[in-house]
Amino acid sequence: MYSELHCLTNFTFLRGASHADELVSQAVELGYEALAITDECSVAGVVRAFSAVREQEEKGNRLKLIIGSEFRFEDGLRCVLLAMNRAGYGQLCRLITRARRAAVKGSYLIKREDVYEMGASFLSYCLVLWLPDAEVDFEQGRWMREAFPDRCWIAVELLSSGSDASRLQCLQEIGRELGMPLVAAGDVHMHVRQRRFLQDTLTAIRLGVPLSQAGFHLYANAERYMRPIPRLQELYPEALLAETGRIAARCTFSLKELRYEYPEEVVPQGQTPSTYLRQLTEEGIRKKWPKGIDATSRAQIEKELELIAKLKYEPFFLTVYEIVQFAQKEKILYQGRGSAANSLVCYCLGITAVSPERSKLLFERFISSERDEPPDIDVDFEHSRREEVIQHVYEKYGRHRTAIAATVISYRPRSAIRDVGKALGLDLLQIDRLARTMQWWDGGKVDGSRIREAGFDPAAPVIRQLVYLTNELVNFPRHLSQHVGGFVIARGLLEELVPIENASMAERTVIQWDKDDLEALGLLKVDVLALGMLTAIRRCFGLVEAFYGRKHTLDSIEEGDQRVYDMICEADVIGVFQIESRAQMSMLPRLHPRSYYDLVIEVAIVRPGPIQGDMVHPYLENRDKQRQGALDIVYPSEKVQEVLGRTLGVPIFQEQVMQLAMVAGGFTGGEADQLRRAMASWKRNGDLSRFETKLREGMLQRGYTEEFARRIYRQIQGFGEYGFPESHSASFALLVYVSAWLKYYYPAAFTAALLNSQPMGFYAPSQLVQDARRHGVEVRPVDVCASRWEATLEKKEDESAALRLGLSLVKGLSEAAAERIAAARAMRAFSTVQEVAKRAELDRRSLNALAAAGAFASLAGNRHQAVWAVSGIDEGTSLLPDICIAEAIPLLRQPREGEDIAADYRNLSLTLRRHPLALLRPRLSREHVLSAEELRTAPAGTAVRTAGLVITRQRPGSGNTIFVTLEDETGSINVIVWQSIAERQRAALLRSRLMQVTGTLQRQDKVIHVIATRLLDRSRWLGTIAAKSRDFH
Amino acid sequence: MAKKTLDLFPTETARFVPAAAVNAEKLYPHAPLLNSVPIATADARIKPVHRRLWLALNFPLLPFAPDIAMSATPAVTVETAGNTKIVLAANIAAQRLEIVRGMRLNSAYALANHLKVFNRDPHEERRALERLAAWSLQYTSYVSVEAPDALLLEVKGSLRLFSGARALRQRMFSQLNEMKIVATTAIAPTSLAAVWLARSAGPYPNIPNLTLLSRYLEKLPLSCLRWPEDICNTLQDLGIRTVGECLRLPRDGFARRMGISLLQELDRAAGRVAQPRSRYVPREIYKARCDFEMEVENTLTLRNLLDPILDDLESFLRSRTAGIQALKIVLRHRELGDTRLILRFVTPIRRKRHVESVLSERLERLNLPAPALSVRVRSGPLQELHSQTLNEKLFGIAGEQAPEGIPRLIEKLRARLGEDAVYGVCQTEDHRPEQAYRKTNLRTTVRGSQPHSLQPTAFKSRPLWLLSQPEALMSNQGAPFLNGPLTLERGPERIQGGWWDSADMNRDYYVMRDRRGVRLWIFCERGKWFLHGKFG
Repeated sequence: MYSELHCLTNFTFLRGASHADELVSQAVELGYEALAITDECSVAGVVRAFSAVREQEEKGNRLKLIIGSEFRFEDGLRCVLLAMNRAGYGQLCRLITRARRAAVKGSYLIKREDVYEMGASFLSYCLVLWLPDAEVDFEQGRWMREAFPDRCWIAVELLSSGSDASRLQCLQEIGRELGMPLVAAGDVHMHVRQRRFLQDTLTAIRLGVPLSQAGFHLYANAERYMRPIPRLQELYPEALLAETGRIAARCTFSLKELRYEYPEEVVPQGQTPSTYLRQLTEEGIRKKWPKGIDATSRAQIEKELELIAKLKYEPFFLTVYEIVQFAQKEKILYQGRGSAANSLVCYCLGITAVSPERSKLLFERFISSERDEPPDIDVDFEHSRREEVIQHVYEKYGRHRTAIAATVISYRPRSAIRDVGKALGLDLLQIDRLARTMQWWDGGKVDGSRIREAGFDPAAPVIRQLVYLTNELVNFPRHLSQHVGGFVIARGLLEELVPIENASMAERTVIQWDKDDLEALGLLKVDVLALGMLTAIRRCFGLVEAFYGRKHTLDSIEEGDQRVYDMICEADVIGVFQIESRAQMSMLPRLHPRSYYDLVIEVAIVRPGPIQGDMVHPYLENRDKQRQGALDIVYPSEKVQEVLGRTLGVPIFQEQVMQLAMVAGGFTGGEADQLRRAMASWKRNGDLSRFETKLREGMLQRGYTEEFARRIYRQIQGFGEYGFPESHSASFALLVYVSAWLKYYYPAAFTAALLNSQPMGFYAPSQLVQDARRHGVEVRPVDVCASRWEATLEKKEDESAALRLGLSLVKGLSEAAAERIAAARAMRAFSTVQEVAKRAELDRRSLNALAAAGAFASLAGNRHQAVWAVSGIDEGTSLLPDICIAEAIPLLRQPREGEDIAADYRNLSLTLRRHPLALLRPRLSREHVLSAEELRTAPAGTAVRTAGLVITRQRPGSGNTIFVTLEDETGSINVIVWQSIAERQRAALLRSRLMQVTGTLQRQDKVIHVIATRLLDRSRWLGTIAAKSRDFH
Repeated sequence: MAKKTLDLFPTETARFVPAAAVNAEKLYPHAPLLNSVPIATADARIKPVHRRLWLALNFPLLPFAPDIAMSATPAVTVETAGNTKIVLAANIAAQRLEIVRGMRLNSAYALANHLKVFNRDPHEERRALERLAAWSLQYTSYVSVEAPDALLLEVKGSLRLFSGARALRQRMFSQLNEMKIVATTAIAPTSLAAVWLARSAGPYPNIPNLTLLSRYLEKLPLSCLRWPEDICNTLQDLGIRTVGECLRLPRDGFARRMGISLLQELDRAAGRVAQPRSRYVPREIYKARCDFEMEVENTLTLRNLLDPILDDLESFLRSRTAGIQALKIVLRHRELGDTRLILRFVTPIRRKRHVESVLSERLERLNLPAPALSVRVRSGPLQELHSQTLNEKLFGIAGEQAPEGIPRLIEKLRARLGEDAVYGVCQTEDHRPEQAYRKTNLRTTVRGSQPHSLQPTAFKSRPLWLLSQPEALMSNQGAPFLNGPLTLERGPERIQGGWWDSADMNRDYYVMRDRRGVRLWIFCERGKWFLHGKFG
């Protein structure tokens, strides 16, 4: 029997050439007894290995997993440390943390002193394998014996170097001399020999040289694979193999033992977490139900508190409570979401503003005691102020107890093709050309036709190698980055739970595990996320309060305003949270949301998951029937009706799929949870199929039809990783409603707030401004005599609000310069350009930017005159305040309208003048190009020709269409480009700023689409009018 | 680079009103060229300069090899500026796709999917331009190189010689066509204007005088001037597109905003200030010829006859502080073809002694096929001498101590054994035995370095003597066999790799002894045995 004690996964970046699960299943296959995962100064890959072992156990296979790590000391000494027990694991993590924190991101530094400095008994629960170099350094051995008495082995790694016999003999002698036992090990870098091509490539990538120059850095052979036991028996004396078993037996630690311990300080003295949570909840009840709580809600709260107490989750709720308390105090807008966030307890604690009145159905499901899964609460904070919250958490709990979860950055086809191409020694320009052919919609794999398109022969040997290696490298982890906001907070030292390393951002540290790893181990994290819309809403509240003196908060806005819903149904939603995308907009008139819960569905349904799972059309049909009063769904059972009733018989949310698996397929809670995980990763691992049989059989047993079972499975498959949880949708829906409400009642303030929160959302300032003008908002131009940095509201004669564009739109102007302008203007109004320059201390760059943007119009006349005026200002003149150089002023030509429009776009990205297409209209009309308005009255099914500036190109999920939105002077035009057309007219599709489309007009419930048959790039007509398109991936 | 102008709006005639005059001299007492009148207005202090007539040749495709310039596949040459690559030149096919100079490579890719991209090679461009300069000397003796892509030919005199501009141009272009060189051209009384007009790619202008020139400049787009990007942007923001519009701006205002040097450029282009231009002088090589008074039959006589030429060569090189690395000697016979000797030197040399020593080695081995009538000697390009060689000359140190250094030895060996017979060997970092040593070119490696010492430390277990080809061995029940059974001493050493540059290798090497005790290096690949080397 054999246990492999030295094995690297691909989390030893650019060395290990196999995924953890490949190693685990190969070890099982070969009949290894145990497998130690010993990534270099890292435990980042162990959770994946742990999950793989658990999966093997489900199949009835056994493999013991040992956690360890390989180190290379600063002086060259190499060894492997193996954790014997929980304490040893903690010691290992601390050592890794120390080594990682001592070096820059991505590297580590460890010295022999480190081992001593950590205390006498440090590493007392770790077993140590010494990895002697080719030239054995006896001194290293003596030190090892001294530092790790009685728990140090000499690892004998025989890798067919030609001198295996003498090496073994030499180590045996040293072992005798030092009194150190020998053990066999394999230095495993890959699970099978065939990975050597990739392993060689990884080495070259690591060195940053082509393979031909990697020389002795490449391994001479592929012996670092998992060798079958018979082969090991040929190579090693029996005793050395047997020793591996003895070491494995002494390592009893399992990741199962890790248990999260909550911070203590969230509970005041003299209280227990239970009593404190109860107290806070009761306080919340009195606030939220001033007239007294109703019986159902009271019962619900009691049920929730009981469950929380049973699972001992109180500290978690209290931790989140503490964080949102801080935000409240600092007036930072936030909103909780996630399954636990939609509990009444969270409502009482002020974590979410979604009141139970809004949607009674949601609170039916909550953390189930059966599913032993940590509660899920994500809190979105204002994008611009989240950093304050993060710093608060660090400050409150200390850096030794707090860190952000990692995000594993993996190879994508483009990055893989670049790195492999370089390793194969292809010319950089060629590689670039190849990588460029990989568009964001081409998906995971490199495809021969793309290669041909780039002008390469897919049959050429080097190209075949490139494709093979790229496809193997895709999904390999490349480095650890920081998660957007997943915090882990520990009671004691966090570094005894998981190693902490430096992030690239200064003052940030990340743990070595990502969010999925934490989840797999049942560890808790608090998500501190950022949301731009919260910033915009808070700013809008601020503007409304300042201008109208009316105060609003998230939960003060009255639900159910039908005028707001009317606007939503008209798809008049540019700028509204979530539902402003092309796909969402085209759904609104058909879905016809009239209530809060309709919005919850709207948010979730226009997602790749439901679209691919083919849930949209059945739902729309049922919805239409319901409106006509003809809805008659026959549910296969009452239980299924309970699950699917609220979504008219169609599963739309992730939770519903799990519930269906439970009530109809007979899954336990744990199994349903596994199903959810498999759903999220089936594209990566493809192991969803094992649930298929179970699900089908379970359903057939319970009397459901084969057809029903198949449909549900297909929907699950389609759901994939894009399934959207109802609990998140519910929280988002509130922001949808609030932003729509603000747009309806305060369009000027809402637009100003959106402009001031850029970049965010789907639309650029130009579209937001045009939309506002279409809604009757007076928009005033950027002007040094009136604008501040942000967009502001100005009083019109009739006391209503006009929107003044801010100087932030001016390209090349800094905020500081804008602030100086506003401050100088506040002292005294400006009368000349020179005066602005002098008093606001503007440099040449700022002056040019302002002149080009037309911001001097009120002082200097037209743009040409303004440019002449500012270009004559010497930067140094502020030193001689009173000298004004009198000079000749040429009578410059008045800019033409087109020039002004082009300059507006170039310098402000928008114009308040005519739309550029208005100028082109005569030419377009001659070519029979219809405007957006003309399309509205054109008969459906006819062939039409239209054109507009490209506003967005969007490919929803992994569907096979591309949505292009065009804009002309009369409105926007929705174009659908099928994959086949997109392929054929890739250049016109990607390149056009002004696109002319020939296609068929399609109309459905007021939604108009042009199904493109031909695309033409008309950008040339625009000259420099650079209306920027935003591409969404 | 100037922004592309908005071309969808029709051009109106611009109206300008002369600016109010302000005494600029008070403000800029040291800038006599400044005043507030428009730039174009005649100024009494500035006398028109008009003595020459310039023909500018602009080579927009100079950065391409001729076949790529004309190829049907779009190609661009790029220049790297910071992190971005900018198109420097686009070939005809790329120009058809509207790829233009100054565009970012990414944008060019968007226009042409199958774009070929080359990095700029300024040295090659310079060489190409110099070749063209040498070629153009046939039309005038006064040629000036306007780097990086234009030539200026002073043609006032030549026009008469070639019977008019039209004929001259035709003749030029037919030659250029043969050479597959694309050029645009213009004739103007000032050199700068000629270059600008040539770049404008408009119809070929032939402008004999300044009056006509000002009319041409009127419409010339500013992009032909290649002024700095920020200046072009400012001018564009002022609504100014052409040189003519520029010339109407007030002098003082223009100089303050755009800088006095650009004002001077305008003045030079308009012919109000002279612009001296340096003449192109072709690059030198050494050439000599000697017709023998009688036919020469033996090499010894030949050597004596060459002696004065070698003296002349040394003094030629000395006066130019240069050396040569190659010398061609061509002997002419009465009826037979020529005999050519090419001498190569490892480092640039100057001294007659060096040339002589190599020459005599060659002559010793030379059998003259027929008596020689004359000899012509032609050197390779002149090269800078390495400092060591200079030191030899200045201080006479190394020269005296090591008159027969390794370079000289190599030259002699080569002269005796042939060019390819002498090469260096160096160890390379490679696990594969065949690739572990490599021939090196001594000419590039010898200078200033010691001969590579071979340190087989990395391969202690390998023999020094490798067979040039592995030799297949018989096998007996799977065991190798060579004059009887072999005994295993050590192994295996497994070597796998090389899949990236040749066939994949997958071998197990063993050290074995044959019956006589000779140690052999043997490998097994795909079940077959091979002998690869013997230990000493």
